[in-house]
Amino acid sequence: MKRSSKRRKVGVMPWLICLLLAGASLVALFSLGGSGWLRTVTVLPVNALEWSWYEGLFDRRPIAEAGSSAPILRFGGSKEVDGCIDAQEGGAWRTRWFEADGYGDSVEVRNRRLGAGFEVRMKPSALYKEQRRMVLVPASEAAMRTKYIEVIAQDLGIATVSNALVRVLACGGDLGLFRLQEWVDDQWAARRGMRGVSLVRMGMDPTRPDEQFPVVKADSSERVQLRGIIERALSEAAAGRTELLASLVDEKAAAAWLLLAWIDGRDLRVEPVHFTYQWSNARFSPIYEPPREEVDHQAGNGPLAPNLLTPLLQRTDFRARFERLQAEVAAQWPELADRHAAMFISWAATLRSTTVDPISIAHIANSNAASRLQRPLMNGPGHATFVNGMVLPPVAVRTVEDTIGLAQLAKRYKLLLQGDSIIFPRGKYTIEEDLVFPAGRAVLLLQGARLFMGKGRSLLVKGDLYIRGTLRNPVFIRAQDDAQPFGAIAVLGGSSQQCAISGLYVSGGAGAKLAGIECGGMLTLQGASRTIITSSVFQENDANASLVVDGGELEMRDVRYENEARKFMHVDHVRAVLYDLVMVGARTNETTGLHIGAGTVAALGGTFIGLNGPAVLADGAGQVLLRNARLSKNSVAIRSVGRGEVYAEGNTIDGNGLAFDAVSDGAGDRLILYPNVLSGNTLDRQGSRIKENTALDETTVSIFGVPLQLPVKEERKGSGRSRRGRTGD
Amino acid sequence: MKRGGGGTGAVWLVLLAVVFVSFIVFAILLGPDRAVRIATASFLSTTVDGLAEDPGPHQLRVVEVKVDEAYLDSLNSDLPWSGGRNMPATLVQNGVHHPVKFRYRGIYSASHYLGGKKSFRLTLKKNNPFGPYRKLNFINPKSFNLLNNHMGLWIAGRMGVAVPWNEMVFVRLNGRDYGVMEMYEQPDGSFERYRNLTKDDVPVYKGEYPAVTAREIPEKRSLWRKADYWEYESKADSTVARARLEALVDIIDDSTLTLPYRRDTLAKLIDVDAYARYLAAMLVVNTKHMDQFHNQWLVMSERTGLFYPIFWDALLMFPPDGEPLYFINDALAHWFLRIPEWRLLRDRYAYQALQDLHVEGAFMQEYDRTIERIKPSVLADRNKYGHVSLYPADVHRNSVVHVISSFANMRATVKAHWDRTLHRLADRNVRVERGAALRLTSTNEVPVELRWRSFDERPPAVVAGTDTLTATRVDGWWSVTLHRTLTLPEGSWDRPFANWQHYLVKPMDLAVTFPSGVPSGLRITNAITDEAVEQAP
Repeated sequence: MKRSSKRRKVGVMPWLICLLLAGASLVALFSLGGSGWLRTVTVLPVNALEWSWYEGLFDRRPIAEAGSSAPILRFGGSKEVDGCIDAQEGGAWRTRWFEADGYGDSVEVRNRRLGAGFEVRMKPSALYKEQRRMVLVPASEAAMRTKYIEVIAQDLGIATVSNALVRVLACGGDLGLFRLQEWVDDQWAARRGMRGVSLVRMGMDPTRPDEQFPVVKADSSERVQLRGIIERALSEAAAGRTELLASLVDEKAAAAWLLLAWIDGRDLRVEPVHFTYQWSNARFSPIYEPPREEVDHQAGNGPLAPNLLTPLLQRTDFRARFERLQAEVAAQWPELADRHAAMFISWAATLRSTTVDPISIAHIANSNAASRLQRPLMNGPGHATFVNGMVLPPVAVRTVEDTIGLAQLAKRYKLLLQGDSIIFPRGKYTIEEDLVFPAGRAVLLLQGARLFMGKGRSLLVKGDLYIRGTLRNPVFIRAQDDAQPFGAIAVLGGSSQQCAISGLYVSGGAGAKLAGIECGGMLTLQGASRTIITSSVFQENDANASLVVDGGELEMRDVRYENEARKFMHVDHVRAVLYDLVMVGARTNETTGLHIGAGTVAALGGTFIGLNGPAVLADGAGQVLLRNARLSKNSVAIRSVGRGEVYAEGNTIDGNGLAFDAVSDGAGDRLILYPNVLSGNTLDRQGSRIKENTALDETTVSIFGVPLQLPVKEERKGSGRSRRGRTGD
Repeated sequence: MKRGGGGTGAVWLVLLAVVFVSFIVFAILLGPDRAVRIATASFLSTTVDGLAEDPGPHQLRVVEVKVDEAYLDSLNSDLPWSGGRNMPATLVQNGVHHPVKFRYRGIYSASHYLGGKKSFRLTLKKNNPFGPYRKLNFINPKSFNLLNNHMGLWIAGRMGVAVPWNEMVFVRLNGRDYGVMEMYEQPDGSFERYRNLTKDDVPVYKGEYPAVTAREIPEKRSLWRKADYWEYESKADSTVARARLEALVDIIDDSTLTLPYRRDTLAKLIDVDAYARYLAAMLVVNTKHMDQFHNQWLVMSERTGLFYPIFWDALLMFPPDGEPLYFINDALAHWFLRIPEWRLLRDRYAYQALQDLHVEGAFMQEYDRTIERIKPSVLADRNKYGHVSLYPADVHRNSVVHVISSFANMRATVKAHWDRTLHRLADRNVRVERGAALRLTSTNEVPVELRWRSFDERPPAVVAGTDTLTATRVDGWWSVTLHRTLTLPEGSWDRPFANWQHYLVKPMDLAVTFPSGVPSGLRITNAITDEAVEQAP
């Protein structure tokens, strides 16, 4: 049959029907939550963040349902007062029942003193996610900005509080979305592995008499001492002499804090700033907390009270550091935003935010930033009267002593001093004394450096540590005599220290007590904000663990543990992603493989073989994700006790004495199993806290900051070269 | 065609006549000056204030208070005697209702309890939006410009004198605009604790008019007459503080002591530096409001064990008659200013402050900033009440015109006073005659310092008039200060408890002899400013 060549006229109705069908399909797709795959279609020229716009338009689910991915916190009534938390009057604590993902206990709730929201205080014996106290702030679109800046803060390595979106239900009623923010207190410091620190709070509003002296959370003598130190440094700075201040403040963290304050646009006078004071290195480091209120970007330019941060901008080198940081962040922000796009999308979807990117590069890089932050200073009312009789220490700038000491050290060991860095070039170093490198100095061990440590000797770094070996030219750290172990290699951070290690071979340590702090690992990294360890090997030792990482963020790739050790790796209070760990037990003693205390740890890939103790042990309040690993011939493959939660998926678990062990007195599931391959284990399960799920979901993996779809590894094609050769030096 | 409206014209005429007659009646009853002032204030507030249609958002903190109307009626019906009675109320902040106690303020100042904007005090619970402060006064500003007390305290605070927390706020009472007020910390034993100086309360004494216990105003009393007249306002143990206060009162009350003995004993009881700043602030702020009877506070420092004062109810430009350089506000100042080196310390603080506030412009910057900040609130405030005449009872509604003109007036008054005071403190006119002895004559009010270099190891004795002065060594220079002699105006009583007196500075005519003749490199400076004197021919 011949088709008519006459063009058929399409009427209005077919157009309408088509539009209706297309629209309905989009609405259905988004509203049924099935739009996720669209993002993976690479040919669609849609920026990741723009999805939030489409979701805002087409996702017609009720808000409560749309935001259901946010964890739910439930508050009950109170015996002390009528009504629920939203009707609670005044600022007094009221006891209420509180429930959230496996937690259920009486807590105390009160209205925030400044701004809307609540403070929640748990019992000391029943912490919620290791927190004694937390803050709930009603989440508006501005919360998006908070998350963005939190990501920058983490990237800058400054100590910060974490934020999460939660939905609050009070007595069954929905109060909506809130931003759950950590409270800065001793527990907060402990969670970050900060030992030997005191928390200090200082305001910058010169009109407030109550903000002119610091609030020091310490005993009375320490309070007087710190107040005197601060007062002396600030009075020197007021006279234009900022050397003492610079020697007291972690300048890297200070520059980062000021930049973040610039980005978030706060009025510096509105909110006090928390600092940590590290007694071991006598340094103050600011903690970044998002502004509590909606910020006023037209904030005034009136004077500020003398403080530990803005006077540093008088210093040319500090100002240059600040401006350098501005440029770096402005350059890195697009890449950083892309890297965290999944999280931002999830937040934007939950908040129904339509703001594309609340942070502009032009604002970050604004050349007037330093000048705007450096405002005139004015003492609080009555300051001179209050200072009378105060014990003030003499002016003593310690960096001069440090410089002399370091110069002598450098001469003795033929080290290089370049700027703030102390460099161990290629060569052999016989260390017969404890070496302590002060805060503010970065220590670099270059490839080919070989450190032979004397009996019980240790190396303590209070600044950044960089070990830059390669598999072909590693950095060796060994005991001089195999029978006489050295102490420890330790980094004790205040908050902003960074540590990057590659190509390290280390063995023969026993742990030590340094600066009053127990460093139980042969390599102990405590309180560093960010640690990256790659292509390194930890060998036999007498320490409590080959590697201890306490606090901060940790990333590891291709790290191998072998031979005899009590424990290969102990992490606590960290947010870690571990790729392809290899742990090979010596089978001669009871070695524990990966021991997790508190924190969130994702171990992706890797091999755990021949361990006489548990290969993976979670015994604090840690959350662990174990994916695609092989656990073979161990005494116990995965053990979750206490309040730890382990998610296991895609692992091959074979030939172990016991595959899964979950024993706990508390409520909730301790071991959540997704499909794994089990074979030849003597016993597959022990304990009642084990739950099985069918498939790992995005919400769960987002806790660990890793994508649901792991990138497919490229097959290494044989080139005829050895593995060492392939890694490339 | 005949136009209507003849009746309307008549009505207007009658109304005008009524207004005119009422004005005449009031002019006869009150006097023309008061009548004109009241009528003007009323007319302007009615006609001008309403022109501010969109004042913009408040930049001041907005304080929302709710009190049961029945309670308010009960208090209002018995003012000023109901001023001490607390009533339950609610402070609403960020949508949260905070239970508070509410009471009206004061009986001694009519602006507190007359008119439509009465001063009040809130007593708050521990975790409140104004924390750590728990007792806050909300004061109807005494002057048209609303700022004279606020700025007076700002000046004193900047000069290093202890002051209460003070902030301008906009108050809403029971959902209605109540207007711009001054929020004011009520000091007590927690004064140092709130400033993060101590963990516990410290002894604090209040020097005020006697508390009203019956329906009559008690008789005033001179605070330094008796330790009992100082009310203890703290939970701290008062044993030591009380003993020291009694010792202080004894020293002030006893007129028979020698000056060195009085100086040394006072120095063991009061923070001399803090008092020198306090008296300097009084000169700079130009106020006489802290007197023998009220507006005084004593805090015993936890660090030194000495008493220091709180600058209270400052009233910028509320000057003593004649604006003397050495105003005696109370019995302690009577003795303090007689001690030459303490007087010089005060003068130096005053001079430094004037350099900062006046010459470098810090005051005007803050004044402008504050005016800018309160502007939307003042325009929105249709409830401005103040003294429209010098009669205390004339608390009436006034207008934004009063506020604006008072701003300008304050600016001019401050400038004139500070120009004059700076000139007096920095005066360098001294006639110098060198011979075997040095002869100095001057009619100004400043002390003079003599400095010279010498290899003498022992302090040389310099004879100035009939006094032998021992030189002191500073940075390799020997120096003596020639303090001025003070006197009281003719007819004044030389008594510490006499009210609102002042010292005069006697002209200087002094022969100064040095042990080895007048040093060749002798430098003569104004001891307050350290600037070389201008040697009159």
